[in-house]
Amino acid sequence: MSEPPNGSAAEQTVGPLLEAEDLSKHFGSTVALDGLSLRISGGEVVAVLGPSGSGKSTLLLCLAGVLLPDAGDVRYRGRSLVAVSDTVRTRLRRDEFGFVFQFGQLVPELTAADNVSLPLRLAGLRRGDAVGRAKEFLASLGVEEVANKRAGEMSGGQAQRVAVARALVTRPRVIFADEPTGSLDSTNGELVMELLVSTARRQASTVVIVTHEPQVAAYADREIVVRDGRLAHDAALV
Amino acid sequence: MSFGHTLLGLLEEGPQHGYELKHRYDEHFPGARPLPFGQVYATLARLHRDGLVDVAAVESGAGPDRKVYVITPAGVSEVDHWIDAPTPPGFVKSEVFSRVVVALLSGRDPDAVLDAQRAAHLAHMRDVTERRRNADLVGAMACDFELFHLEADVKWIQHAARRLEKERTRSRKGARS
Amino acid sequence: MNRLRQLGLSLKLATAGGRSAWTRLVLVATGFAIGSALLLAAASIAPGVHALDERRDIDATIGVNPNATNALRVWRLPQSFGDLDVSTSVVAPIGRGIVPPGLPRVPGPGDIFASERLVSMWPTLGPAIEHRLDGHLAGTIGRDGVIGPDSLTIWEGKPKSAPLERPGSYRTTSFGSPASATPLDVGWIVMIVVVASTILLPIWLFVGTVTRLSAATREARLAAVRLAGATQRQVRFFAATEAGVAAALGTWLGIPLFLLIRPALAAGPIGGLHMYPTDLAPPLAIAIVFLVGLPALAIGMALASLRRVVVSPLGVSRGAKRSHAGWRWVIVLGFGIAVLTWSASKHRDLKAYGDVATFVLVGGSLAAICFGLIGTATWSAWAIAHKMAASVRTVPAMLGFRRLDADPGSVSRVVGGVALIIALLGIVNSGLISAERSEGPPHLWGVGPMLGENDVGVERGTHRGGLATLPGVRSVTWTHKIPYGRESPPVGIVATDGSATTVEAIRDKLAWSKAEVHTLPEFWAQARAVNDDYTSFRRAALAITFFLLLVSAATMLVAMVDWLMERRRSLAVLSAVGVSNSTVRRSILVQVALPLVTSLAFGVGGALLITWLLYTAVETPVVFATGQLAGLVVAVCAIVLGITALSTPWLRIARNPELLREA
Repeated sequence: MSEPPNGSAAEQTVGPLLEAEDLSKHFGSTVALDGLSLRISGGEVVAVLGPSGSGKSTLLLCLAGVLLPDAGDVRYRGRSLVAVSDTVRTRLRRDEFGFVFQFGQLVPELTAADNVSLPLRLAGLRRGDAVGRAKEFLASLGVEEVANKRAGEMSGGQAQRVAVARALVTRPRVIFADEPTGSLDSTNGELVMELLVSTARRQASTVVIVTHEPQVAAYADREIVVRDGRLAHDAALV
Repeated sequence: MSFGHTLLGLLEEGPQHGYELKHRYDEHFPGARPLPFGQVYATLARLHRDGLVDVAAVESGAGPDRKVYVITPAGVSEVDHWIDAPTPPGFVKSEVFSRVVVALLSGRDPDAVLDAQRAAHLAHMRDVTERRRNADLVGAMACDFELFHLEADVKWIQHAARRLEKERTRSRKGARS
Repeated sequence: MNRLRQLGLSLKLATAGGRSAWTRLVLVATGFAIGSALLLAAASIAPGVHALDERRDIDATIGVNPNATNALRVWRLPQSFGDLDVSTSVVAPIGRGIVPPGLPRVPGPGDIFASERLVSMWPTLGPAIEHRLDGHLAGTIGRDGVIGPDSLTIWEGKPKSAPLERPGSYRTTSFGSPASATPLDVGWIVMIVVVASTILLPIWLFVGTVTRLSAATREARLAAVRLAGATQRQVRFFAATEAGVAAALGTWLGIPLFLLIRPALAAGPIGGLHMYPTDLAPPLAIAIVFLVGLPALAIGMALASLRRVVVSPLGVSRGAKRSHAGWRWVIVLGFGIAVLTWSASKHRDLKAYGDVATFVLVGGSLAAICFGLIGTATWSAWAIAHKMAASVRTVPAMLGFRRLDADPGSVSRVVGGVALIIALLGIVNSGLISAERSEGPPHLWGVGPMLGENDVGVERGTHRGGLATLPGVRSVTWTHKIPYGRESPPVGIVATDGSATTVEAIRDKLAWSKAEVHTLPEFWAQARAVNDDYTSFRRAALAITFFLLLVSAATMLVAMVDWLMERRRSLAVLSAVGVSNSTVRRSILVQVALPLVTSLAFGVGGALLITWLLYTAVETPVVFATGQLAGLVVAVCAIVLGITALSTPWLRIARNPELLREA
C-alpha cells in the first residue's frame, strides 16, 4: 500500500503530479486527441468538460496509463508512463490510482464487499483484514446493507456508491472518474459526488473528473474544456 | 405579485414589525443585495389597503417602524390560493443572452463571451455547492434552486457554442465550394 | 406474414449477428455432425456384425437334397504358408456341379480361385501356393464367398494328382444364401444406440453449451423482434428456426462424415474381425429417424427452454428459478450403492435367485448409480465453489469460485458427463482385464508344449509318412500322449534345421493329408491372439474415452470464451483498476480446474467402488484398471492447463482498454 498521501505535500511543490505532453491518439480514422498538453498538481480537483466525441474520455484513460497514446508523453511524479511496461503500469494503477466509471464496473459475480476488498487484497492485505476494511468503508458511504449482495441485486445509486468505495478504499493519490453520475438521477448524483469529493479531499487525493454536467463540474477547483482533441479552455474556479 | 405573497406567508407565522419581516426575508431568500426597507413598507401598505393584513398595534416611540402587522383571514386564504396555483411558465429574460446576441450581431467574438460566462457561472456554482453542504432544509432547497437554474444557463452556453461551431464549419465549407 | 416469408426472416435474423452468430451456427452444426455420424456408426454395428455372420453361415451351410443331380464334393483342407493360415476348399463336381459362393463357375481341375487379399500377395506367395496345390490362379473370389476383406480363402478344383479320399469329404447340393440366414434382430440395434447415446453425453453437452452461447445477445435480439411487433408465437418460431437450421445442417453433414470414418471403423478391431465398409450400413428406417429426429429434438429443446421464459419487448424474464436441488441426486446415488453393496454381500445367494433377479437388482442399482453419479458430481462442483467462495484466500481463487457459484450451469454441466465416462472406462476395462486374466496367460495347447526351438508340430491329417527323408529334417517322433494327460490321435514332433524352406517342404509333403503343421512361434502367436483381442478392446475403450474428454474440453473452452466475451467490459475495468493478466488467467485456471478435478475424483472413485461392488456381486474376480485411470488423471491435468492457455487470446481481447471509452 502506498505511503500516507500527506507525503505528497512535499512533492506538490516539486513539480506537477500528473503531466501530459503533446498527446495524440486516433482510433481508425477518428482523431481523439490532437496535440494536447496539460499539467495537474497534487490535491487538485479538475473537471474535464467537452461535447461527446471531443476526446475527454481518451484523455482520462491516457493520463491514467490505461491507454497508450500514439504520440506524446504522460508523466506521473516525473516518471513517464509511456516508456514503461504494461506490468509496471498495472502495478502503478493498482497501488496509486482509483477509478470510477459511469456503469458496468463492478464484477457481477462478486459481492459488494468482494469488489471493494479486491484492490486491498491485490495489494497484499489478508482476506480477513481486507474484507473488514471494505465493510467499514461501505458503512462510511452509507451502503453497508448491500455488502453481501451482488451487483445485479442493488440499485444504480447503491452500485455507484460501491464503485466509489472501491476507488477510494486504498487511499489512492489520484482518482479518475468518467461520468460518475451519468446514469444516476440528480439525488443519487449529488450523493455520489459529495461522497467522492469529500473523501478525496480528506485523503488529500487528486481527482480528475470527466463530465458534461455543470453541477458535477461545480465540485471542482479547475475546469478544462476539450474540443476536437485539443485544450480549448483552462480556468480556475476558485 | 410574488413578493407580496411571500411577505404574507412570512407574516402568517405571527404578528411582526416590518423590520423583523425584512430580516426574515433576507435570511430565507438571500439575493445579491439585502431588501430595501422602502420596498417592504410600500408592500405592507398595499396589502393593508387590500385587506390582507391588519395593523395589530402601534407602538409609541420615534422612527418609522412602530406598526405591528398581523395577517387577516382573507390574507390566509390568499396565501392558500397562491401556494396551490402553479406559476405560469414564461420566457426568462437574461442578461447573458442579451450580451451574446449583441456580440454576435455587432461582429464581436461571441465565443469569448460564452467562455467567460461559463467560467463565472461555474465559479459561482462552486460557492453555492459549498454553501449547500452546511445549510438546513430550506437553505439546501434554495441552493438547489439556484444551482439548477445556473446549470440551465451553462447547458445553454455549451449548446450555443456547439451551434456556433456548426455554423462556422458549414459556412467554411460553403465558402470553399 | 406468410410462412415462407417468416422462414426467410428467421434465417436472416439467425445469421445477422455477425461473427459470433456464425461461430455459434458452425459450432452447433459441428456438434450435431459428430453426434449424428457417431449415432449412425453405432446403429450400423449390429448390421455389420450380422453381415459377417451371414457370410459365415453361407459358408457353413451344407445342402442335403438326395434327389439333386448336380452337386459338389468338398474337401476342407487347412493350409499354412509361412505364418498365414489359408482356409482351403478343394472341390470336384458331381454331375455338372454347383457353383461355390463368390465364384463365376465351377472350378476345373487345378483352377485356383483366391480371395482378394491373397491375390494381392500372389507375386510373392503365388508360386508356393501353386506348387503345393498343383494348380494355377484362375480368378478372384467375389464378396459372397469370403467373410471379410482380409479373409484368406482358396477354392480349387481337384487336380488329378491329389490323392483325396471320399471319406474325408462331404457332398453338398447347395450353399447358403443371404435369404436363408437368420434375420437381424432390431432389438440389438436399439440397445446399442441407446448405450451409444449415453456414452455420447459429452457431445450433447457440447451442443447444449454452444446453443446457450451469447445468451444475452440472443435474448436482446429476440426482445428487439418483439418490440418490432412480433407475437410470442412468432418469436418462438424464430428461435425454433434458428435451432432447427443449425441442427439439420449438422445432422445431414453427419452422413458424409460417417461415410468418411466408415472404412476406419470397418478395419477396426471389433473382436478382431474386419468388415467391408459397406457392411456398416444402418437400416434405412433408423437412419431416417436420426436425420429427421435430431433436428426435431433440437427444435423441441429450443422451444422447451423458451417455454418458461417470457420474451417481452422490454427484455427476457426467466420464469424458472435456479434450483439447487442437486443434492437429491446424492440420495439416488446412495440408494444405488446400497443395493449394489447388498447384492455384493449376498452374491452367493444371488446365484440362487436366478439370472433375471440378478439382472434387475444389479442392473437397476447400476442405473441408479450412473444417474446419481452424474447428478451428484455436478452438484458437488457447485456446492464446493459456493462453500469456498467466501473463505478462499487468494484473489484468483475468489474470482473463480464466485463465478462458478453465480453461474453453475455452463461449466459444471460438463462435470457429470466427464465423471460418468471416466467411471465407465474404469469399470469396463476392469471387466476386460479380469476376463483376460481368467483366461490366463497365453499358453500353448495341443502339441505346442512339447516342441523345442526348431521343432515343427504336426496335428491331425492322414498319410503322414515320408517326412524323415526330407532334407532339413533331423528326426520324426510320433506320440499319442499330449500334455494334460489326454489321449489323442498321433501327433508328430519333427526336429528340423530351423529353416523356412524345410517347414514349407513338410507342408508340401502333407498338402493333401489335412494335417495342420505349425512351428513353435506360430503356436505362440495363436495363443496370444486372444489376449491381443482384449488389449485392442481396452485400447479402443481408452481411445473413445479420450475423444469424449476432448469434446468435453472443447465444451469448457467454448463456455469460458463465452464468459470472457460477455464480461469484457467488467474485465476491462478490472484491468484499469490494476488487476493483472495473470490474476485473471489464474482465475480461469480455477474455474476449469475445480469442475474437472471434481469429475476426476468422482469418476475414479466411482470406478474403483463400483468395480469392487459389481464384480463381487456377479462373482467375477475384482481387478482395478489402475494404469488407464492414471493415464486419465494425467490427461485431465493436461486438459486443464490446455484450456487455460487456449483461452488467453480471448482474454486479451476482453481486457482491451478501448472498451472503456465513452467517447
